[in-house]
Amino acid sequence: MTKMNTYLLNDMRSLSVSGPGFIEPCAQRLCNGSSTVKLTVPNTLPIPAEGYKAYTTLTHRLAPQNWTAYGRLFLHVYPDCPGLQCVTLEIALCSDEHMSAFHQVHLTNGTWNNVAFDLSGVSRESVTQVVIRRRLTGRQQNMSASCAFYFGELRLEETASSPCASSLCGELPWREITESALSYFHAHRCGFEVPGVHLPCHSDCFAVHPDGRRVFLSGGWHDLGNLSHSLEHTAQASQSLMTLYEALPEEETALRDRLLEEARYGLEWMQFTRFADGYRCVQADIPAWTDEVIGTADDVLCDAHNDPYANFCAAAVSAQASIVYRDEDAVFALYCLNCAKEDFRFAYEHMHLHEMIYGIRELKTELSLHAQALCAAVALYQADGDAAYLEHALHFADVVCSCLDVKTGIFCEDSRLLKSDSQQSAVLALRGLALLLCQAPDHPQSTLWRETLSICTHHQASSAPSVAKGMVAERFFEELMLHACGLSCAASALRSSSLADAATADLRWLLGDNPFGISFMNGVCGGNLPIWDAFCSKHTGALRTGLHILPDGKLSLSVEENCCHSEMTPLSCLLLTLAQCMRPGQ
Amino acid sequence: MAYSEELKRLLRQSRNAYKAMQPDMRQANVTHIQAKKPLRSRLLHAMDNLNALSFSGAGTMELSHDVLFEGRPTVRMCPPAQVTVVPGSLTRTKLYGDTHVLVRFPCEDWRAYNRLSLWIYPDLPTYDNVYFLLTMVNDRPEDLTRSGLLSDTLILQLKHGQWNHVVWEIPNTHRDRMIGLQLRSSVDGRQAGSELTKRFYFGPIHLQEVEADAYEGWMLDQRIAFCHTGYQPGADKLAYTQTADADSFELLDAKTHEAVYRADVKTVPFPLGDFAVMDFSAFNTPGRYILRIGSRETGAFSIGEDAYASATWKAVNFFYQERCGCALPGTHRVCHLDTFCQHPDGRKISSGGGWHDAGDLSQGLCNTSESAHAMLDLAYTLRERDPELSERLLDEARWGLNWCMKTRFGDGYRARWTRIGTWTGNILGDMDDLVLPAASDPFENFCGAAAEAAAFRMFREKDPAFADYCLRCAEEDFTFALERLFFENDRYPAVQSIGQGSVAAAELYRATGKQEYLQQGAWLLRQVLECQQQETPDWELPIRGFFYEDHTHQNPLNYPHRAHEQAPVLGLSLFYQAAPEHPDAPLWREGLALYGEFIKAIARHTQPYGLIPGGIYRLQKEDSPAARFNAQIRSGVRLSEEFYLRRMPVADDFRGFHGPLLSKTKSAAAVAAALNDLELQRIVQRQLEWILGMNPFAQSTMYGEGYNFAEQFVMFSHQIVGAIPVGIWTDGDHDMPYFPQMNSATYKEVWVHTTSRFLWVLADVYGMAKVSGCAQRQATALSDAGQEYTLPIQDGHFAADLPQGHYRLCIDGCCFEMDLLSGKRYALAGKED
Repeated sequence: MTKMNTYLLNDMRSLSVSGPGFIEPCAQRLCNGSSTVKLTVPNTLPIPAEGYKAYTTLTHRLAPQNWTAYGRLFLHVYPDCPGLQCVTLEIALCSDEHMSAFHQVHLTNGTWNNVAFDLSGVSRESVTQVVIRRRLTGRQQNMSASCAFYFGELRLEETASSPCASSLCGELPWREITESALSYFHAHRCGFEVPGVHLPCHSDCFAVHPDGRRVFLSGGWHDLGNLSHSLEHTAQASQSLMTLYEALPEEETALRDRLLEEARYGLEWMQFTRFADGYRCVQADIPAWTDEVIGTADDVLCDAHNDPYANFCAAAVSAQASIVYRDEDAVFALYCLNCAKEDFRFAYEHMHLHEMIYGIRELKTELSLHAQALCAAVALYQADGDAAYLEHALHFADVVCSCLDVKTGIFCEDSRLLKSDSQQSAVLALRGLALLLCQAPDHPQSTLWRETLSICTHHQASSAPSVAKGMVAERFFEELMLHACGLSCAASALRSSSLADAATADLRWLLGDNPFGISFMNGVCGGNLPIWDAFCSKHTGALRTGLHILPDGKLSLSVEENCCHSEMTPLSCLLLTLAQCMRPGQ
Repeated sequence: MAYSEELKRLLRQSRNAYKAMQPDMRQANVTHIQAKKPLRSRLLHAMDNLNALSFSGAGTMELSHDVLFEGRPTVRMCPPAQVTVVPGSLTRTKLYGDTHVLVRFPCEDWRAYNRLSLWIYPDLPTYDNVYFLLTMVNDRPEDLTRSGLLSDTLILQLKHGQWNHVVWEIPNTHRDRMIGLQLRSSVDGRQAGSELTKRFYFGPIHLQEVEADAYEGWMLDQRIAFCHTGYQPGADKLAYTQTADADSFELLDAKTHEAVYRADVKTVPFPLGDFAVMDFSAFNTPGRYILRIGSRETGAFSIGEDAYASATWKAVNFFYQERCGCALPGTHRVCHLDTFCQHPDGRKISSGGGWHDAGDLSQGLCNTSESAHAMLDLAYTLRERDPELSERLLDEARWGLNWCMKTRFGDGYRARWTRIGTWTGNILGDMDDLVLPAASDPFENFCGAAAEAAAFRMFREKDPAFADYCLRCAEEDFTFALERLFFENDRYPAVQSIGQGSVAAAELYRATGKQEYLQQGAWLLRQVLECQQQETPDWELPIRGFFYEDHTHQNPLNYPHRAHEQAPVLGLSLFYQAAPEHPDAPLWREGLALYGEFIKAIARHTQPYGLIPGGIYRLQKEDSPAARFNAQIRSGVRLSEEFYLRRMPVADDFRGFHGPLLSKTKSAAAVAAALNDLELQRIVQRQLEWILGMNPFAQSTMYGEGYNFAEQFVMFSHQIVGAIPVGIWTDGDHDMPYFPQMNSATYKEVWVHTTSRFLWVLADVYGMAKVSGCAQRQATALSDAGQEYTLPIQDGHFAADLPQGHYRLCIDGCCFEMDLLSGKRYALAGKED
């Protein structure tokens, strides 16, 4: 018989609230005949800077209790959040003064929810608090000023959760992957309404030029597990979607049309968030919904930057777009080419200013900057045919090759300092060299590029990311997909089926050929894992950034922010890998 | 619903109108005109020199050897796309300016010629759309002072990077003292990435004589007027021509070309003259057909329930291609983020989104909300008949609704009209930003409330969160409007605002069932009925049932251009159907019946077309500014010493009459639906046919649909399949249709107003009558035409789709007669739906 224990959350003496909001007993909305506690939480604060990262926390204190006999905690809660299409709460346990990671649950608005918190891996020998918190999500025009949550009971159950097993048989399900990925991107569109997710959004958010002019941020895709935007991630996504478009069979008209349409959504954002003088939105942190009215407290302003890395990044993808869209929309293709040339020039003019490279924003290393520059130069050479871009590419390739430690096969971030390697930079380097090799296969330097690719991928092939018991790998899937992506780039350039197989093996691991027997991509091969996301409940195509393996080797089913939110980068890498492994003859 | 292969192909190509539909240029009027061989030709200017050329506006004109025409130099004009202006000064300006090359002539008489031919080479690789204007300049005072809206102007969509041969038939133009031809380019802003300077090269200009197309009057000559889209089963199926060269006509199967139906041609005297009538109403077999009379054949058209499908999908395509804010491949990139409506307290909302209103880039709440409302109503009608089209309409409606709701400040103020005539760069703080004042206007808020409440009804099940927000906005907007009604200096006729209030109240009542909306609606409708001519006037030709602008009965309600005559009638119709037991319901019924009587009475004056005339007009006092309309009024049909019936509306500069026509048509459709009036529904269908080819020019006026469709006025995109222009107009004081090739604004300008009204009318007539009810043994329907239908019974219920018509229905031995209307649902065992 299943062991159970139930606690009512209606004893005001055991409850306390911190942060904005308040609790009160409620006799009107009953749970199983008992009164409830109503927690009222504002959606935003008068001063958004506080509201953006604010939480309201409800703490239920207990006499120390040993819950090790129980596997799951159920929470009975009724949310009344008018206008909200995504309603979440986060739950944690405090045991021996140690707070577990918060676990997020998605709730259905306007009804009683019985949501589970998997206790595997959670310290619970001496539980003294159950902590429930609500993140303030900001407010769109259709949202009420505050939300109410009615709490009924907490119930402990002996039975632990188990994920639905799935398996991957036969060929990679490229159609399923593509359709799910398109669904993901569409659900994460910013700007116009996405039915079931949000109304038109963020037209009161801006990137500001040093001279005071502003560009709108509404558009592109929400990323980073919240509502932020990143030029680099947007560019990666558009690049992947376009590359997959090129790789799919021509008879797949509808799917290819959708890929182009979705890729353009990102490209347009990249283009209307540039000031055409080098400055552009590089990263916009938007942690909340806003009211669309300019001149109110929740407007978001971020600085625009003249960032060489970002401009190379934009140039590379715009140059690719100028080829891909040439038949579909020649004017747009020409515009993309012109943007690419301008952005390349802005980046090139600034890349030699040491402080611009290393001084502002994120640290971009010699390898990453030159690898990105290499990708841009090759793409422009391919799009425009101007030999000057090839010359630039040759130079950048030299720098990139010099960053390889030939003994280990590891790319270092700097040719002199030989800093530790970064998978992202290595993939950029591999992609840049692979593109160059395709464009100039007979160049005298091509032997060096081939050797560099071979040495690096030899190392890569033998160092796939792996999992271990008790491991919390916050960005495991990003690393896995970067690994796959790097291999697939080299595979396409070197025409190596073994490298392509190695890249495909990473995808297969992701989709079910793994020790847990589950797919980590929602909507593909039965994958249906919950995702940490306070703003969107549509998770088809979502890919977690990481995973948490319990000491017994099982997968933690707790929905923790650090490894269970989704980002675009792993998905982009997956699509790029898929595209490169699908190319005919390779 | 079964579609033709042609439509299926179009939907595949356009991904159900999510990608621009391409017109079949073989059927375009311009193709037909370009194919004409000139009878004679005269060189006006070789354009290989600068003699007799002058230049006006920003930019340059010079002789060029960059682009040659048949080895000769050409004239190059380089206007800028944008000129520097003071930031903020564009708040009420549509364009930055105009620039042109003027080809000068020494006061020549061109009346012996009727066509201009010229060559233009645009070099604009960074522009999605290349448009250009030609304007004729005739040296008479009345011509030189004519409004730009009435000037003899042709607008062209040109292809970049090649010589474009342009021909312009000008038999209608004033050309007895020609002093110039302007080759014009508007300075209309640019999108990011478009070049600062445009380049146009000109080749030779010729004056020619051809057999010109008809452009004015009611006569058809050799043309065959018919509905190019087709006819629904049970509908009147008529076609006309002026003279018959055979005693009979045939319907040919469009695929096999074999005759499937033959009947006599009858020559009938009508109020507008003698016409040969081809009546094939008795033929109802679904398919595609061609009509043949003697040696003449029409293009193929449909008979069947899908008769309006192609036109409807194309209208949806038009709206999609008018979307603002987002990128539309081949049309524009993300646009107008830096246009704003501003609250009096200083707050702003970006007004990007929604639909560009017309040939320019403006937007308005009224047209947007009414368009959404029309789509929602049609989606409702089609929810079972054609679920795919219904869903597509809902999606497009949602696009408009989002704009309506996004651009409101939540206190009554909202974007009412954003007049935009330029592309902008999407950067806030530079010179091309546009800031327009928000307003709190009763009529506009009623429009918003009506559409939002209708949206609640349509989205309640599929997206409750969105539906709830729509309803919240609707209830708030209704309150804002009601608070200000009668207390504002309303820009509109009182009956329009009150009528729209009743529509909003009716939609809110349907959505919520709240008695307060029924009470408020009844209160508004009592005032509406005070504006109606209910008594028979003491006229030589007495007509009643029409509305005046207000309760003083001073001026009949008429519109020259944008029209809202449907508002009071729709309010009556909706409430009569939603609350038939209300104490005022008999009054509502009487008002509807009188309006129906009015429509039937006036439509007789335009036979054989059966066009609903422009309206009843009262002569204005000779010393009043409005007296300038008296000559137009007097050219109508005299009803009394003071009142005249105009077949076409009276208008000033803003001419083009599909708006008034379709507003009246929607009114008639609303009456037909409420009173189950088949005769009135047949009149409604005739108006749709007028739009789609049953007119004296035998032209479909919807671009890309049917045959002989003409180039429309659209500056900022390519010609858009599915666009319906402002409409057929009149010349001077004449009271007859006028539709030359010249496509100046406003009359040939594409417009969401007219296209949405077309959809709104379809909501009342699309598809066959749906009948259902309870029966155990037998359910039959015998039509007046002698066709008997057995209605299949399953589990004690029957359900069937029947062609419109008069029937004798027998259900389990109980027999009764009734009319069944297209697009309507009948629960025969109970109340009508």
